[in-house]
Amino acid sequence: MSNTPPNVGAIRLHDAALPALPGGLYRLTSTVEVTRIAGNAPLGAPPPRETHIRVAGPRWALDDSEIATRHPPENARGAFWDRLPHVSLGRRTLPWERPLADGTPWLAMLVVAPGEGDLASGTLRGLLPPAVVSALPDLGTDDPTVRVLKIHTLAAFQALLPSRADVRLLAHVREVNVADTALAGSDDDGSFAVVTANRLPILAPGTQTTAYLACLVSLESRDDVWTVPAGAAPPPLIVLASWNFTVSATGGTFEELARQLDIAPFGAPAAGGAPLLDAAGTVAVDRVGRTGERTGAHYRGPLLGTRGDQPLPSAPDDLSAPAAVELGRLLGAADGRFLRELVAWHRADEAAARAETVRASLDESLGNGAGRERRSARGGAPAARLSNAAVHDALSTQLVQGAGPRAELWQVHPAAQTLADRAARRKQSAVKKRVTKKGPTKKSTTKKSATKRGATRRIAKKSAAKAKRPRQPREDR
Amino acid sequence: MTMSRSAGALLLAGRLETLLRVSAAGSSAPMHPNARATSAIVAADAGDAGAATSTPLPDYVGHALARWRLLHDVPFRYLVPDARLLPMESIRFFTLDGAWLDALAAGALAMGGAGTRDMARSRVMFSAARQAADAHQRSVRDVARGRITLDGLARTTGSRVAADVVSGFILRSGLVSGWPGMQLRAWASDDPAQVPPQADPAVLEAADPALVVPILRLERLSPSVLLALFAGVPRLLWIEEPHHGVQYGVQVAAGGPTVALRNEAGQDVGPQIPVPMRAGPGSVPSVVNVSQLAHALDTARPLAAPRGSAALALSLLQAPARQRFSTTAGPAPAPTHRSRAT
Repeated sequence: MSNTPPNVGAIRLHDAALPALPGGLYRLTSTVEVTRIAGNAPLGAPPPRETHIRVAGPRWALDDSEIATRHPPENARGAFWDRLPHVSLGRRTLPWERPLADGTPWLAMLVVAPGEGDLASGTLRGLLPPAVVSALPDLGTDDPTVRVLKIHTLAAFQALLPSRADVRLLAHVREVNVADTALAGSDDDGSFAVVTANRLPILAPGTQTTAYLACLVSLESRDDVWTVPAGAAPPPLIVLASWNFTVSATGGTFEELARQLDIAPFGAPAAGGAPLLDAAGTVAVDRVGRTGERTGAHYRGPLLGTRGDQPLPSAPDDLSAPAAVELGRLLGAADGRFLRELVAWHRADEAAARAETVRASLDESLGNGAGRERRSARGGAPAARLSNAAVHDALSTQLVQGAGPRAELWQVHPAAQTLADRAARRKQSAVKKRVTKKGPTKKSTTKKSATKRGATRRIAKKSAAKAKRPRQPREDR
Repeated sequence: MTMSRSAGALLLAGRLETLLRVSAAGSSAPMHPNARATSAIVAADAGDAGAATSTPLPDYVGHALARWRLLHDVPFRYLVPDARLLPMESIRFFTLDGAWLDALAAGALAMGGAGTRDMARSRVMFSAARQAADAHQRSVRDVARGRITLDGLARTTGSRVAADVVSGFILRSGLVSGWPGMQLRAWASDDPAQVPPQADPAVLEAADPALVVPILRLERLSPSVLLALFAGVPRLLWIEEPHHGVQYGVQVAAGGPTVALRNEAGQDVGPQIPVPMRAGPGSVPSVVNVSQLAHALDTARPLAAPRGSAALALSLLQAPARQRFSTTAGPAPAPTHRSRAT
């Protein structure tokens, strides 16, 4: 399979996409060969090592996310009688992951008309004959819940079931270019496995509609289905996915639906309906006021049916602008990385602008060049060696740094700064209190320190008075 | 020092001056109190005040704004406030409202700043933010599809990027749920001479890349609602059946169903081949004998090896349906997508 996607609008077809390792349980045996080099003592080889690998994959049921498209669509009703029902699987190797012994894919589509068969669900061992269950590899003692398709008569079963060669011919791989589609990121490689049914869902003669049941069945290790002896009951088949659709004489196809679309610019009412938008392009919406009263309001969304940049409506009861601003705030607040980068940008820009302002004011106050010469003429030798630019840089860096970091916007409460200052003051007074207690034991005190002690004693008295009050949380946080 | 004001105060004064000058020049229409903040921001955008900021906006901020301007994460009720605006089985064409999106972006940018200084900066940077969002607009879909990563994007340059008029449609139909992954193609011209109805899009694009209107966003909002946005206003739109689910079928003729005989390029060569049906006692109607059909095709046009599933599929494929929506003839730019052709 080539690596380049096909052109837009082109389809590339392949017979099969074989997986590197089909599903199942594997045993990996590794051994080390030891060769004796002349002169060395012989060493025994380490024992072989065994590892087990299970290659898993869908086996009993297929999740909806694995199915890219079903045709006809589920529960659709239309003229599908000249189309073979099929299913597109996003995983391109899926039909070849549990192949039969001769490489036949394990998936086949059956289309069942009413009265030909039914679905039943239950446990694997309860629904399938023991011989079939024992033929399934790597099952162990598992007994998963499965759904099976039971065809009522053996003749119908044999008529419906594609032959081995047919099964092989009915599964292929399709590569398309998905650049123009809404396949949302999940499976974007553009490769799909397509499993097709072998039956045209014709309209039963003399009826208006015919309901059909489409089933994707598993043929894993089911060599028995092609060799059912005459007279035996038709064997049940495990159903991985199934859906209903109805065939009618006309309508329902892609062409029909697309042709009948109601086309209009945004804001136009349904055909024949009353106009929905007023002159300003707004639509009436309900609003519940703060006091609970219901009032009307007007709103214009971001989609305009007419071209031309009109300003947002500004009537007092118009919600367009407030709704947009508030939605923007919510979207911004919900995106953590957006907030982080925006705040960082604010800071970087402010720091840059601040440095610029400081530099400009320094230029103004120092003068340009002339001031330096004047000062060096007076005999300031070190200043003469510094260039003007270096002085500016050093000063402005210091000034910018001296401005100090701003509070973390999202983590620190604005009151934290005041609290921190208060705590620092308290700590200071506590230290001084200790000093005053020890004071009298020291003999040598100068006059200066005595006045200081007097001051501290006053503070100590204050803090002692404070200490009588109930203890408050202190600075040891 | 002869400074009478601090550095910060000078900075703020400078910013405010820029603002006041611009808003004085702006319109003096009476404003709704709730809309005042927005109007101030949009008014600032009118003057080229974005030059006042020196640090480029982070790429992620520009990308996030571009995503929101393409209505990513915008709740559906904000787009379609009334269900009657989008009836079942309808397609509605629109252009995006720049004023509404500016208000949205202004709200998002107001989140970053705490003080008056930050608010002032938010306002003067608005046009820079708008430019960053415009520069990112075309890469949003590639990033969402995992084609490129944000880190791999080149840092946005200061040059002004031509802003696209974003138009699009919103489709609510069984087409969206029944045929997921429809192919869309928008053309800048609806002249049949330039864009023939049955043309191969790859050939047309190679001949004149300017004819293709790029898709900015194509997403299913719900199982049956599809939103598409284009960079520009297309004059012709093709909606095609999904190519990964192109139907497999037969032509019904008087003598029974037939299939086409095709060569490796998919072109019809030779006559139609009748489809052999299974017959026999107790048989079920209309079951195709697939191996006999492959054999019949092999007989009619032998290949090097017997036909496999791909070669059989080639004969069974039906050309995907293509619905064309085009504007009415005439120079009117209004998106009156009324005419249609198949």
